[in-house]
Amino acid sequence: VKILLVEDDRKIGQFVKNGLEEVSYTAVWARSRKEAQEAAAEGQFDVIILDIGLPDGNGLQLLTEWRESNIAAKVIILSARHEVDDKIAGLNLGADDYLAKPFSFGELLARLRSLVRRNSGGIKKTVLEHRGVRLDLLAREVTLDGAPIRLTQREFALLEYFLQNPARVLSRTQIAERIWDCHFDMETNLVDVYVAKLRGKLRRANEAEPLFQSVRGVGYKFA
Amino acid sequence: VIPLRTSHVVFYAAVVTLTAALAMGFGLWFIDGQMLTGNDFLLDAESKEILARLAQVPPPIDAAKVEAALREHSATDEALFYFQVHEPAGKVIYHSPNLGAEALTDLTGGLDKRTLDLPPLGRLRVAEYHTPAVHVQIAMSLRNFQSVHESFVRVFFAGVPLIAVLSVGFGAALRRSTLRPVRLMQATARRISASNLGERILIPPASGEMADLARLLNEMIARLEKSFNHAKRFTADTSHELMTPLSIIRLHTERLLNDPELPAKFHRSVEEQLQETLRLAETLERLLTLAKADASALSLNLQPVSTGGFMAEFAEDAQLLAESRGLKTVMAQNDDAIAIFDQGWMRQALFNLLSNSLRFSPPNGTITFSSKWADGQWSVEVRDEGQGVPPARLDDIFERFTQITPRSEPGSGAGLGLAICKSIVELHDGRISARNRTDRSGLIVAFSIPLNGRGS
Repeated sequence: VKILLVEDDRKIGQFVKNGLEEVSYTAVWARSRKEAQEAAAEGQFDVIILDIGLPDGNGLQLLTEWRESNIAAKVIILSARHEVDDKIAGLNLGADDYLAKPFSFGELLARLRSLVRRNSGGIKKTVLEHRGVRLDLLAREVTLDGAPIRLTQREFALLEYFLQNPARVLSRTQIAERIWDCHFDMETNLVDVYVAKLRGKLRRANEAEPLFQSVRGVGYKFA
Repeated sequence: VIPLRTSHVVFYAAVVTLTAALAMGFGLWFIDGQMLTGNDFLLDAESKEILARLAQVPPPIDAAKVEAALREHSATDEALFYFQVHEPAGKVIYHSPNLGAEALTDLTGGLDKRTLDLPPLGRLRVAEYHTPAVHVQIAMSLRNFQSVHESFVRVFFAGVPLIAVLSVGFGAALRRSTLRPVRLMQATARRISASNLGERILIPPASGEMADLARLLNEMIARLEKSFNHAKRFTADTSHELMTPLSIIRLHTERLLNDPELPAKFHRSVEEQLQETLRLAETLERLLTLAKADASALSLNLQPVSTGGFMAEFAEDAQLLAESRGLKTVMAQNDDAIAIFDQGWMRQALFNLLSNSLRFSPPNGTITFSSKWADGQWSVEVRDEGQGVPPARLDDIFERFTQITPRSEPGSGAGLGLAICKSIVELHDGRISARNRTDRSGLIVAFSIPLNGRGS
């Protein structure tokens, strides 16, 4: 997986580049808008991590240019929330994801992985199944080892999200965005409460480990 | 607004039509007068000739002599005039052949002109002239006069409705063209919000009040834009400058925490460091939100929302959150209405209120919500069973950094939650207030926003 990192801050850039290389991604680091333009013109990237505040221009302008020239790479915006007027603005300009500073590397990695996976395509399934949990999107039914489970709408949506991303870490923010369409703090541990509820409903009598493992500092994973 | 504009057109059309009707009525009166004067002038001219001929008749005057004097003349003028001569006593001694058996009325007092109806001949204008020996009456048919009069009346009755219709159409077109700049201004003004302050009202080409008004509005928008941009730039710069170092701290702290070589005795410190970093970032985030809201630079995505569904969804989340802390929630009332607001921000406000109530509720406490629709307002109340707030501090709780409880309590935020609620509600033209419960201890926080949304 080849990643273009556009970040003007030396310390953040170095940290992220090293981190990506540690997990065997190829990372090219561009420190300015100009460098980013050149790098994007030369190489093929799977994902571009784009900081908004660059010394020689706005990252959103780069995004617009790339989308106009049909660059296929997925773009994840990395910025302080109030830098982009609205997260929606970035997404409207063609970004695939958005991560607010200060971010956690674990979350960045989680989002990169789901972008790369989305990149490889796949047919939209109407029945999702993982570890004995079966979710029928059309019938809106959930079964655990064949036994029906009753879920509320929110719980259903949450389970659907987990089943779409098996064995992948989903951050609390990602979950909050997906289920509540919230891109700000909710001053509550709502996500944890919902995951706990879902855990309780999908618990097998003889199983010690919960279905959804919490990943320290980031979120949850349906292993 | 529309009836007023329509009434303008109706008023305009009425004035035009009335003016036209008056002008035509006056025209008719004037033409009638002119034609009668013309007739009378002809009668006077004719009388001179007749009287001259009669003057040559030697007295005593009798029918034969008069006939001899007038026959030739009356034959030539037969097409236009009728003549009749009678003695002062009233005996008719001559009448022109075209008069047939009819007799012209003797005009009492004489020397007057009069219009009279003589059925087979139609309407006539009669004039009478006196000499010492005879009275002469000369008459003209008013047939031509009448046909002109009648056709004028026909034109009047066809023309006035036509003018009425045309003036309504013309008035509407005039209204449209006059109001076009106003409507353009309205459309632009309506479109302009915090997110597109760069737009300007198109200045109408013709100079005048409209152009001045448009220019004035544009200047006002420009001033607003400047202050908005200032607030936005400030928050963006602050955000960038502070979130970048916070990112670095977070990245490194998390790395330390995940490092198996981190000595166990430092684990807690590093963990604490991470928590405080996140709390700092969160506080900063809220402060910047408030700064933006103060400058009205926060863009709202206003949409019509069913309050019933919105609150039911919120109640579900609230119930779970409360249950996880051993508390209960009750939805006392949930009216359904359509209100216009930004769902994301309103949900944020509700969660802030809820989190406040959760924090202050005693074990096993109940948090009660109600959502009502009254007097064009959507009113939401959140009541808890906590200690309430000293009456003197009820207004303070919406101020920034107000803490009613000790700061160290987990998840207590920085005392910005209710301030953000207030900003969100006020951005929706609403009001928020707090009061203590009277039925038992506890706090009620209530907000209301106009149902038809901001600015109306």
